[in-house]
Amino acid sequence: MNQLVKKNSSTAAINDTESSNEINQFLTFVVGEETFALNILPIKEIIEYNKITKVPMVPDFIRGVINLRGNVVPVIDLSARFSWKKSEVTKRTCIIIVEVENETEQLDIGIVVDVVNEVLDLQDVDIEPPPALGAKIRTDFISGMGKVNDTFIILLEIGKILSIEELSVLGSMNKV
Amino acid sequence: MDFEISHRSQKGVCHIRISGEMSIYTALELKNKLLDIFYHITEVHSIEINLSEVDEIDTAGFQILVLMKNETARRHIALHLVAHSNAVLEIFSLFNVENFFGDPLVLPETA
Amino acid sequence: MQEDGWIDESRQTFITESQDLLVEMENALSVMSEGEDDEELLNAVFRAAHTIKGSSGLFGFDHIVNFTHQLETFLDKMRNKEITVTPHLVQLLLSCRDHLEALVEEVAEGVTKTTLEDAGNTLLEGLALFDPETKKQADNDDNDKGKLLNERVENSASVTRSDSQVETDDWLIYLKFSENVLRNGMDPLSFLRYLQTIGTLVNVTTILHNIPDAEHIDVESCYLSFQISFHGDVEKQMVENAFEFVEDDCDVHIIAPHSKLKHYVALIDNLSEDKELRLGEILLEVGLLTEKELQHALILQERSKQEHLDTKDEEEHGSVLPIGEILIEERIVPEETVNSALKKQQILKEKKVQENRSIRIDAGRLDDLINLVGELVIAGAGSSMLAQQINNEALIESTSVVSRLIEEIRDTALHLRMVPIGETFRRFHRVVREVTQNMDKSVELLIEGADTELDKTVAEKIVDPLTHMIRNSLDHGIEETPARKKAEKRETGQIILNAFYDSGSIIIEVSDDGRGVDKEKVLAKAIQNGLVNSGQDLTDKEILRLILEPGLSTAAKVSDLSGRGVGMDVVKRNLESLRGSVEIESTLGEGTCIRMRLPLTLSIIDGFLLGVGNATYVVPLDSVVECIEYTDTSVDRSNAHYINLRGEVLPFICLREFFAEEGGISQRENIIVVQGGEQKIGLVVDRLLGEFQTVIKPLSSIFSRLSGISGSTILGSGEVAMILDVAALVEQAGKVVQKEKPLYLH
Repeated sequence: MNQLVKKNSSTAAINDTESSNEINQFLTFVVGEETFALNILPIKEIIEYNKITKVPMVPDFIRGVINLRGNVVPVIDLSARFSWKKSEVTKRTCIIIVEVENETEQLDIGIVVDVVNEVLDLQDVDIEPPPALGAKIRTDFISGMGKVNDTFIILLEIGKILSIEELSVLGSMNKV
Repeated sequence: MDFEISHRSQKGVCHIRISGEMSIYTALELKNKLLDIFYHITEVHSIEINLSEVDEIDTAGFQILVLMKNETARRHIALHLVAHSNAVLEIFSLFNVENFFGDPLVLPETA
Repeated sequence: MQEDGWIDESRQTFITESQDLLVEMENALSVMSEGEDDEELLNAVFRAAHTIKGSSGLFGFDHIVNFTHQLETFLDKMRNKEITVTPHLVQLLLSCRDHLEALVEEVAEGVTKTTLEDAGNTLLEGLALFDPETKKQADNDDNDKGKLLNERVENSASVTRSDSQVETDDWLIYLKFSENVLRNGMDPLSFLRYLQTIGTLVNVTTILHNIPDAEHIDVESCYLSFQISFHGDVEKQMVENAFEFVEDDCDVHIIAPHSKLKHYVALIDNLSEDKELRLGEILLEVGLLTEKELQHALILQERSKQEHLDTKDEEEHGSVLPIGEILIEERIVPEETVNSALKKQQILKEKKVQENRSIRIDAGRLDDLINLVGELVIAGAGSSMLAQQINNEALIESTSVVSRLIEEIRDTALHLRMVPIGETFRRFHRVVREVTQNMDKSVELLIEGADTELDKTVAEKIVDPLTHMIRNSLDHGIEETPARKKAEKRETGQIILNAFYDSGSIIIEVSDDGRGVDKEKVLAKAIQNGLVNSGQDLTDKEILRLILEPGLSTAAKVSDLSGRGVGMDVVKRNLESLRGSVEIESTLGEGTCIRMRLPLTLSIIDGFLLGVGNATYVVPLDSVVECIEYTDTSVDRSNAHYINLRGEVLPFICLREFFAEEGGISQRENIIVVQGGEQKIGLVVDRLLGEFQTVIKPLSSIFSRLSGISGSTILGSGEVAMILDVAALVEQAGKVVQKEKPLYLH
């Protein structure tokens, strides 16, 4: 079930003289009823949803921690992070391991998604700016809208969703 | 270029001139070039290496000179080191190997 | 080409080594400044200066060599009691040490031409004033100990020496370089050049026959070995220092001029048979012995060896004496030189043994090792668990043997990182001295428990907090001398640094006999700053803890050292990052004691596994006092948060509720009694799962504000478990209890 995403995207080979033609690769997945897409660059791997250890006294959207080859990695429930209801675990539930960084450090965080779909190539011209309102999630979680076959997919701003600062501030509010 | 090497053969003597640096950084290339020359010479009874333009030499470079001395001796070719530069003279004197090479040394005037 | 990496690397070695030595020097000088007059201290200072001189010579930092040389000469006179030690002198020597530090700093920064020469000369002139000979030209005096410098300065290998002693023979140095020496950035040439700077190369025999033929040669390998006879009025240490940087890459035998024979024999013993003859030839060639003498001595040596083979000890030491006697008898060497040679030899031997007892290891490599041991511990726990599941007795047996070995490896590996705290403590002598210099205060620093060992990282990280605490004590704690007189206290104030072990932690105390903390003032200030509400009822301990909060300083005036109210806040944060805690005791007018509790290691602990609901938690075994069964189901948990444990009030936390764990309540709950600081609390758990070697995995920084959990670990099953932060839980329980029963604390 380990679907490794190729990090060597074809973008490297494309000459960037015409920026409008630059191709970005996105991983699409489903959370709740909605399909989202995430730039594949920060994605390290996708793993099966397995035994997660709960961490006490943290908000619901922190599912817990997993043992990723000897490293303890926190796992975020994306649905709960969007202030939706906690996602149900099914056979198709996956954890996407993402590398995020702030000024001082780089760390791995897992995000729980319901289904992983495919890797999508989007040209710059197909990416629209995020809408001012009307989205089902916080607008600052959206980096843009990707046009695919006349429908739009929300491109997630992972740096904001997994902002270390925001996660740890929230984490302290929920003390008993 | 860290070092240069040139050679010509004349009347049975192969004249080699090394200039620049004979050090661990150049040793491999230097050895290959010297051996290349050495393996391709014909009808030569002696080799003369001019060291006047060697401005830096360390143990690795020195070992190559010893190697050349040994290799030439095995093929019964005489090796003469001539016009030792100050750098070469210093290392020879520190290692006290003047007798091993057996070449007359011309001491610089200041000495 | 000079800018290449290896130069940097060896220069880095020089810098770190010098810095280490400077710390040693400072420590020794600091103790001396306390009035301690110990020869060993002076020797330590001397050795440090000496080694720095040696290594800077090797790198061609001539200006450092010059300075250290003169310093060394001066120190030598002190050793010979030609100069008496006074506090002023020690102060000046400290300045010299600082100067050296600055010089090393310059090297670190890549400054090629020193700008500090004048400063150095001023210091040296200052030193000269202490020299009773006051002959400024002493350096030119041939009989002076400074003749070494002359040899250097005149850059001449043939200074005539007018020694009264009969030390006319030479050092014999046998040097065999490993093939890697060139690749590691060293060149035998530099050693020869260095030796030339401290003496004369009487004869060098370069052994060339190990150079392979064209087909087999690796031009980056070194194939040379050397037999050097060397003339110089130096100590063995100094010659050895020349080779310090290539210890691993070089087989060195240094034969002191006095004790040739034994060393010859040792050398010959060490060599393979085909080389023995060559060496014999070389010895003769060098001309230290005649063939006859050598043969003669060897035969006699062999005979005496046969006679004294009784014990190992006698073989080592005993054989020396007969040969000495024989030599004297045979009038090969005069008696007095043999005797002094034997004495010196013994000293050098002991010194050498001591030095060789420790090796320098890159800290990164050690960390790698400990990480690997951590993985091993987890993997070992995994296989033990599997063996239990399969229930194969032989397998269980064998995994338990493996577990025991892993445990030993773990302890040994962790011990590698342990250092005595004394070194950290001693550097504060200086802080105390410097700070009090401009104050009307007299303060002495006492050190206790200097041998207590702790993890090197912890030792390094407590320097900052300790500095703050000591400066605080100096600035606010200890009173001015008149005030102390008035209070009928000893005029000299005391700061005591103490360290000891207590239930798996190390306790470090900083106490002073100063004026103590005025709790009223602290409380008033805290209320003013809004840290505490005016109606809040606080215990003394809690009030004292307030001084660790940011923005709280009760000092009337702010000095340049402390009083800005940032210092103690730093202390608290630093300690928390080390999983430590801090307690303060203070009596107004009598003094203050700040007690830090720190874990001994940061990576692996003995843990105790607890089952709570469906989850597993780990509590550090050292904090576990006892386990008791908890049967009294009649206790209404929502109201009572303490039980009566043999007449003692024991507050408790029900972990299942506290952590909101799911899963049914077990029929037989247990209370595990843990101790954090001075206080005990009970933790109600569902299952006791036994001891577990716990490799601490830090929790992601998104959990940095989580209290009650100190980290995580990976169980044998691969699952993650949380490690409880006992100190935080104790605090939590204390708060709960206090609300209901304020009299609980004492």
